[in-house]
Amino acid sequence: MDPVKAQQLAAELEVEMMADMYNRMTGACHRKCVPPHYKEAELSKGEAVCLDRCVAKYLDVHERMGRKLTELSVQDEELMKKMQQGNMPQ
Amino acid sequence: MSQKLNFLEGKCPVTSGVKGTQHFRKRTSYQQKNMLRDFLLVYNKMTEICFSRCASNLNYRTLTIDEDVCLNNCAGKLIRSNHCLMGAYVKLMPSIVQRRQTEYENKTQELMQLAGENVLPVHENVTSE
Repeated sequence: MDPVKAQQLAAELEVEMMADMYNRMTGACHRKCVPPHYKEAELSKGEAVCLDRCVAKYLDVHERMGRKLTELSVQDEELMKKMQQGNMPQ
Repeated sequence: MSQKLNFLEGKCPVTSGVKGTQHFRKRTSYQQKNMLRDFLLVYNKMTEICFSRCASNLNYRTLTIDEDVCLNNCAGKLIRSNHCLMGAYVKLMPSIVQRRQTEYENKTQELMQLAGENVLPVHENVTSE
């Protein structure tokens, strides 16, 4: 696959996945910060602060997961290379 | 990108070394796009699951050390469980697909036979006139 097409594909999917992440984040933060006791329509200060922190944490987690995934995938690739090298002399 | 795609097909200590875990290297761009989409969906799901289970302390904007440790363990467990799940699926699915295919073929044969039987009486009526 040529690199230009690959980049295009990656950009398309990136947008889609950002939207997906946003939806999951709003769901998760709503579940964590806004208890289902709907006595009034306004958000309390605690809830607002919680939502702010929740978003910051979620994005931090998202970044760390990405790093961890690439770290483990690099480890995986190295392991497979070593195994192939181990098989070669035979 | 190919690195990330290959990562989905890692080794599980229980299911590895089975015939079904062979990979096909040649892929169309459509298949590659779908694989990348699957990878990114797994990534998003992992983030959601680990966040909901590990981020317990919403008194601070940054992640505490306990949460950090929890996230590392969560990531490792989810990735390895994904490997094992895929290994088991690849081992079991071909037989199920084969069975369904033979059932489908038998069913279509039956239906064709029935259709053939229904056609014949009409012709007989025509010729008798």
